[in-house]
Formats: sequence, structure tokens, C-alpha cells
Amino acid sequence: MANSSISFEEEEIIRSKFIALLLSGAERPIKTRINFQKELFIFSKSFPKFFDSFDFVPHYYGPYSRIAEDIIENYDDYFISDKNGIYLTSEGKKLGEESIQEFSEKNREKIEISRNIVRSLYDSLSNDELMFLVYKTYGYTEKSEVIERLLEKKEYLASRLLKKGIITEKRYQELVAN
Amino acid sequence: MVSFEGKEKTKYEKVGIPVEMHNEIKRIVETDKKLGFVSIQEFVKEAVRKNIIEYGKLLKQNEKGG
Repeated sequence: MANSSISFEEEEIIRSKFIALLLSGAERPIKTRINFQKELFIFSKSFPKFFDSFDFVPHYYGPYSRIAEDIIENYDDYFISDKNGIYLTSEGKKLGEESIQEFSEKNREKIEISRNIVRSLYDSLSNDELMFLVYKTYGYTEKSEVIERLLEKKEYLASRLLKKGIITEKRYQELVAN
Repeated sequence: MVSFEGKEKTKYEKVGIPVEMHNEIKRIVETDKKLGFVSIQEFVKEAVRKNIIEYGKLLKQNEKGG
């Protein structure tokens, strides 16, 4: 029998902290749930232990974590989801600040760089642009309801990504290739 | 308080459910797409998760009530 050294409640705190870290990476909200899910997916990909904790599955719009969705909905001391997007309460901001201090200096730098890259690059993308990029990079297309529509306009989406400076010319060519 | 950085990889255990329950979940997942479940596993994990959270709330209420 496998034993976990932490409780469910502690695991929930860790997940909340990780989300708070992502959301504290910029002053603005993450504008849509799709953007939130994809940004959390990309951010956590760099940190396997946390990635695993969110249990991402292939969903209608790409990789999706129901746990992350639940946390945003249920922990309203820390998180707000409204017409402006998803963002932190003042308590949530404190949680994000405390969380970063728990890492060693080396890991803190790594996590801050990753978070800032994710927020600065992907906040500006539309749902379609971000879903297209994630599908083409990571897969998770099995249950997709949008992949065919996105592939039909792959040249347009890839050119938007190139214009926004998200991808290189080489990556553009890869994205539009069959 | 658990160390954020010291978190270990999530482990999994298998549990069984009656076939009837499995079939009903399968029916729900396949026919009611607006619920957003893409697999039986996802449905079960969500149900268990909700129960644990609910149980935790009840426990706290009881502690407060003495």
C-alpha cells in the first residue's frame, strides 16, 4: 500500500499556493477560464510534482484540471472569478508572496522566471491562439471539440502567434506543416 | 505545515465500485456532455473530492459546536 506523507488538506493548500503563484505573476487577471487552465498547465509542466498534483486530462478544449477549477470556485478567500477574469484577493496575494519565500533561492529564481514568462507571453493570447499552441505542442487532443476548427485556420493562428512574438519563424513553419 | 518545496509526487491507489454504479456513471458521462466529464475516472474523483471537502466542513462545524 502506497503511503502519502501529506494529507488531502495539505495537498489542497499546496495546489492553492501554486495557483496563487501563477496569478501573482502579473497585476492583471487571467482573462478567461481557458487561458487560466492552459497557463496553469504550461506553468506546472516545468515542475513535475505540482503538475502531477493537478491531474490534467484531455478535455473538450485541451488539457484541463477539474481540481484547479474547483479550487478557484471553492476557495474564495484567495481567488476571485468574475467578468474581469480570474485573480487574487488580498489574502490570495499574501499567499502568493509567502509561497515564493518557501523555495530555496535557486528554485525561487526558476519559478519566478517560469511564471513571468507564462504570464507575459500567454496572457495576451486569445483562447483560440492558446489552445492551438498547446495542442500543437503537447497534444491532449483526444476529447477535443475544437481541434478541427483550429487546424482549419492554422495559418492564421500561427501568423498571429508569430506577429505577437510568441513563436519563432522556425516554429511557425512547424505549426503550419501537416 | 507541509513544506511547499518538499512536496512529493502524488501516488495512486486502486478502488473498486459495483458494476451497476460503473455503468450508470458511464451512461451519464456519455450522454450528458454539458456536465463536462470526459471519463468515468474523472467523475469518480470529483465525487470523492466533493465528499472529502464536505466531510471536512462538517467536522469543523462539529468542533466549533463542541
